[in-house]
Amino acid sequence: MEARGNRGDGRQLELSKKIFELSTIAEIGKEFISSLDPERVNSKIVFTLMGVVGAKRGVLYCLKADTRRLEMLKAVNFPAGERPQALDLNAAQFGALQRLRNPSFLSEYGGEYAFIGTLVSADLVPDPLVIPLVAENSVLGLILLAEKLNTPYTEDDISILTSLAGYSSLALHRKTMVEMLVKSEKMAELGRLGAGIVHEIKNPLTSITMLSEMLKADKSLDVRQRKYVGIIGQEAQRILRLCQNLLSVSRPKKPEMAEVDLNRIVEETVALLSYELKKHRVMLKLDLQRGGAAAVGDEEKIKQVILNLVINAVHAMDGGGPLEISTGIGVPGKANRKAPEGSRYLTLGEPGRSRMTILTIKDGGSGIDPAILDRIFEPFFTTKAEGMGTGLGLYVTRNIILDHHGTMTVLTRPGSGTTFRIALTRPPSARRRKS
Amino acid sequence: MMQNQLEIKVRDAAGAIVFDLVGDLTENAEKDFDSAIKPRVSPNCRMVMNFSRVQYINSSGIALLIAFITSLQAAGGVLRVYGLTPHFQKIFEIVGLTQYLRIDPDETHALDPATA
Repeated sequence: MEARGNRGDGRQLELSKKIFELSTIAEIGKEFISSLDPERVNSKIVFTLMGVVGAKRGVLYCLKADTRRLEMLKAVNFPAGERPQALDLNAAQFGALQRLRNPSFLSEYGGEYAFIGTLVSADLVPDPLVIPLVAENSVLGLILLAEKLNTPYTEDDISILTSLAGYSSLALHRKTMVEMLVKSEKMAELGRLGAGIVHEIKNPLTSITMLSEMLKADKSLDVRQRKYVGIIGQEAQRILRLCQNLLSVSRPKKPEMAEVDLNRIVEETVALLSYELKKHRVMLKLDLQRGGAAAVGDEEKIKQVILNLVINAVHAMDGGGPLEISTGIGVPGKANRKAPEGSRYLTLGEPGRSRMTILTIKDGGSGIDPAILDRIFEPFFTTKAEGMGTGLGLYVTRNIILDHHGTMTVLTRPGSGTTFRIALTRPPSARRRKS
Repeated sequence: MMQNQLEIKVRDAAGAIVFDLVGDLTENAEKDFDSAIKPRVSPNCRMVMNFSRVQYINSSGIALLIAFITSLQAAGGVLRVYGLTPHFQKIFEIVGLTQYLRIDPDETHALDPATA
């Protein structure tokens, strides 16, 4: 009788467990469809997976594909001094993560996954259960769970966690999509507002620029007066450039592609900036491909890219410094693999294996803080002092490069400067010449 | 399911701190746990949670309890609970909470150190 009673208790427990798991699945599905609050979604993911199996600790990471960074979103039950941190991945680690599909213990993975163990303290989470969050065939994040309060994990536990991870992945994916949508809506609205204002400003500015040029040549003015007129003209030019960037955002024009020589475009653009470079004590070094650097592109837009990047470089070198602009032929992806120790990089576009025409702009400035690297191409994001930048230069630059089907890599190390490497398609004539 | 925000009332009784929980124990109670319960943890403290007016506990609520009980245990404290429905008594057992806390039938038992 007693044995039957125990079996009965066991069945009761099993039944309660199933009811609990089913209600959890039903609740999480409903919650994730209705909730847009990212903080709430992050908390819900970790708490739910922890609680349904009785894990002692849990942490949620999101994987940022553009910066290859594992960002910690929510950690539960970690002491203040031992909270899990973010981790920047190298290409091999990122590739390894993308191959994960099912929950498994870290000890069951090969050595290439050892970096996951560095995310959490081994004392607190000795052998984490690693649950990948996969949506649209990409790993969007990871959940790490510590051991359970009572028993080891069972196959049933892994099954329920896999189901919940599926919902969590969709929630994470949806959250990312919503954030992008909100940003693009905000952008479009600001762009529409800006376009009207900019158009009104551009016409009088053009008059100021032209008249100041005429006045500068007027012999009846003394040296000091001509200098002031020169400054008025330069400042008006600066405002015109800002207007140009704003208009590019609100009414982007498709590039008019032609075969261009990057060497000539570089020389013409830096000539325009010679005064600025001298004023800020920037030592310019040009290292241009012998025999020309042919590429397919829109000359005006490439000029705008160089202008934006050089102006940023000047601002990054407070008190002056070296600026090197070079052109050449190469495979964009290969150069990224030679990134020096301690540096971080971010690539826009898909670096293929074919040879492309490369434009490199390298400054000796302060470098970019790794914490903001993945935000620098966002519209209206700026670290410059108020009045110094609109936060549109790099956004416009990014759009131009992507419109050209090119790639751009930014390589930086705080305190050691920043390098922008742009790769554009080579014209068929140049490829033939080579072969 | 429409969730009711958890309210936590704190009182002292027979050398223990009693928390009367009213509402639903879900992830929404995280801040309340942080502000009303965790600061009361002291070395070797005795705590009692009254679940008789808790209508619903989800897996996130269980996770909150796990986080709390492990920190309480680190401080040498003990937790006893009462007022749990039979269903949630079983859930506490399944997830292993019963190894870290004691389920009592009522407040009198929960406050009795002799039955610890």
